[in-house]
Amino acid sequence: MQWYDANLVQLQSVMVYILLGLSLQVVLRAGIFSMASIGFFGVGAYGAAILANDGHNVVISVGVPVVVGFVGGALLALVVVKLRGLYLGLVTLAFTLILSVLEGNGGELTGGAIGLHGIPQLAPMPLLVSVVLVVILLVSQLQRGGVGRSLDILRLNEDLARSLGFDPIRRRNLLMSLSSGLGALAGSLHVLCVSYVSPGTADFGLVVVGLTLIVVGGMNSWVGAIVGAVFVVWLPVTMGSTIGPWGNLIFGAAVVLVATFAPDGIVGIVSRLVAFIRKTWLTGEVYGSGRRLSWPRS
Amino acid sequence: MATILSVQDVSVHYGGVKAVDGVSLEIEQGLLVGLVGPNGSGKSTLLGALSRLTALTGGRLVFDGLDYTRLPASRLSGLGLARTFQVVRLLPALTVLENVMMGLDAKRGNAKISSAWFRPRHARRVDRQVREEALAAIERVGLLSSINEDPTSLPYGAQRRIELARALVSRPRMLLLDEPTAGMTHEERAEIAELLQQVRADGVTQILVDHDLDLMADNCDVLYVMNVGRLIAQGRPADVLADPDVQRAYLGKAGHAHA
Repeated sequence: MQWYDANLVQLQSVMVYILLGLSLQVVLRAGIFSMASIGFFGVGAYGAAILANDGHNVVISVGVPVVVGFVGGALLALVVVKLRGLYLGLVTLAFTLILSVLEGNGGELTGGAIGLHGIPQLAPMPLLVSVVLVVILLVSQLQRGGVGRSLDILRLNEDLARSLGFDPIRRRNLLMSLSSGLGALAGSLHVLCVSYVSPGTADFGLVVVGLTLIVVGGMNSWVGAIVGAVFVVWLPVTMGSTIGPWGNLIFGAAVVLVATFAPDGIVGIVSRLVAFIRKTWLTGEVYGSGRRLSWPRS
Repeated sequence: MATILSVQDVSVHYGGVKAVDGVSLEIEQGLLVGLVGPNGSGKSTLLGALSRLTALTGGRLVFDGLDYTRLPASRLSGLGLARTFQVVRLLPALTVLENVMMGLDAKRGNAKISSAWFRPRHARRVDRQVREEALAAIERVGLLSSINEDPTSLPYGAQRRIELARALVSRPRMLLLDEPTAGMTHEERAEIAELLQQVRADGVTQILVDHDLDLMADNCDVLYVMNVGRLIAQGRPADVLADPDVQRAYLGKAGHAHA
């Protein structure tokens, strides 16, 4: 219990970052390079802050921003329907940065550059954990079986997806909407834990953390979001207490190393190891093992 | 015999380039139809138009009495029209079995997010059915021993056969094949030809684009020749290849040649 109390802030952060990581992972798995969910993290954070300060309960304070995220994400998907790859990444990044500027200039509603403080802490740990578990359950169902394969086809080639009977645009729009809703969920729960929000809550810094999280964890599986969340929360803390100012350097180096040598992240390394062990020492049966988790090596 | 595909005055223009220019075809059910022509003659563009992946500039497409000129490409597999691509497109992160299952997922509703979330048991049952059918399709192309392999680790000929299995698993009535023997050895080509004949025996209509004229002459019931976006000859392979226009446009003056 002592450990739990001392690390409550970190545990809350991990929960929020798992949600943020999943919001990025659901789109990246399908080859959609969208960072819009980080913008909607800010929308969720401010939305929840305003609603909770007005005395609304946790269901309203979280539910309304999440719905706004879903709808906003769907609308954004329609606007960027023709963009792919890095172009989509740039536009959704710009979208996120514009939102952060708007948040800083929202007058009394958003508290300007100072932001909003003293927000009621409506998200106790049991609630946070339950929400995360439900979201993991829902997202993991999208990554297996036929739905999972449809995301892989989408990433591989849209024409192939069409010829196999999938409407790639509809599926893309749905995933971007889901991603934005998850971003808003993460943001609203974040603000109900830390009880303040400012324009810096969801700016470029969070984009860096989010991308680091999912690159290090592995973007091809929902497990990557969990591993990545633990990594980005605990590594700087651990490093900071042992080697002081060198922490950030090692943090950055770890990111570079993983991105260079293991593009499918920590989960990819582990799943390949598991598949290798199974293949070499056990039956040779690889189907259904961690193989599906690895990023295609073409 | 009944006409299954009717292509009426179809054009695909890119600016001033007439990639396909007023092509009309009537394809009879159950035949293996060959489409040949020099590079850039518009064969692949025509296949793209027939599979609705390439937008038409003009013309009409009728499949089994249904005008599908404006239907989205994603609806065609449901109608029974499947295709393969010139470039092999298999997912290395998935097994051979899973790659073939993809060909049936959409048709069986095995990729519905709603059933994955709200009817997981139903979703698992559908997935098992799709798996069974995929296994049958893999058996057909003779790769049952490799179902758990990474498809990209297999020889090129096997990869092509996996793609064929993926197209066949949905039991299409018509199959569009874009250069299924490209880059293959002689033996691999013979295997594919045999496979196409088996598919033909099942009554599946096939349109085959390929550069291997011997393969086309030996296996096709009807041969169409394209040049600069237009059809210049059609008929029985032997007659078509002997046609002086075809010799001039496609084969050059030397007569017989492999492109």
